Amino acid sequence: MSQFFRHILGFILLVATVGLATCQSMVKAEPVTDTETVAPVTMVKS
Amino acid sequence: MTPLVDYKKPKRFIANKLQPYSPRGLLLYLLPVALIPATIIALVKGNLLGIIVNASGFALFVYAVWCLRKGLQAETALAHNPIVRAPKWPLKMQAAIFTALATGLVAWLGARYSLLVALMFAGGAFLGMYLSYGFDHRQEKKIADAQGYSGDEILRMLEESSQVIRSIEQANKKIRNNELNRRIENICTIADRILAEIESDPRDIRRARKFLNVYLDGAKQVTEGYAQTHQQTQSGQLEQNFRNVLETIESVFQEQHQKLLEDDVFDLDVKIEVLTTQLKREGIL
Repeated sequence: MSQFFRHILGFILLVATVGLATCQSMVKAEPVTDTETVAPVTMVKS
Repeated sequence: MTPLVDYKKPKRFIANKLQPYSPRGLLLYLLPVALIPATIIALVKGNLLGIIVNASGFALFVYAVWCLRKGLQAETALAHNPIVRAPKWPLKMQAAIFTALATGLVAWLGARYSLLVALMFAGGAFLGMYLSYGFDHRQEKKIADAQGYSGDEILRMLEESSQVIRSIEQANKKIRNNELNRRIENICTIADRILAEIESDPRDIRRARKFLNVYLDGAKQVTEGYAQTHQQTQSGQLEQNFRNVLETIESVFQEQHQKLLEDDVFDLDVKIEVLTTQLKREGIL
């Protein structure tokens, strides 16, 4: 494998793995949304 | 005054260019940037695990880049300088391990992938590091025993002398005089050549020992002393004395190099004594 393609492949792998893991980690740590503050629905007997 | 000689920037046998501004490895600083807002968000939400995972993941990435850059610099120095030894620890390998560890940790506990997928992320990052930057070359430099010195002793002497030359170069940066700068640079170049000569033929060590112990140290003391003094006082006499000493050092260094090349058994002890006397007379030593 030529040196150039080796570097390109390494670059793609690094961007894909490190980039995806860190961005996903940011998305999962999303800020507080309104849905979390909504009061639980209570069942009312009719 | 002897004329300036050999100022055409001769090719250095020993270059210790660490390339501090080389962009290689900087990509790794950019990729984990998303962990900064992730840590802040986790902090705002009071998510302790999120804070620990994202902050420690970022710290691991930064440490990995530091290792990688050090490894790349050591590799460059090793390729250009026959005297430099390989670092004690395989730095590039260390960088790959820490990158893989950080990626796996962030993928598993931060991005909440399954452990198996997180391990695949770690493996991918490790492979990416290997393909992009490679691993450390660990072959040891070996110098043959000679003149009653072991190869290790000779290598240590050469390393110490190389450090002295680098100190002279550092002191030279503080001197604001182009002519003197060029002279000192030339002296360092010749000194590097002498070290390279000894490295290629360690039998020269006996004859060059005095040069390494006395002369080079003398040149360092003179240069550092002048660099310090001339910032406080601007004395024409001091400058002239320094110039005279540099001329002598330069010519004796060249002579020493020539003797090594010619494999002459004549020792330069007498000339070294003359220089030491001159250094004392000029009030520099």
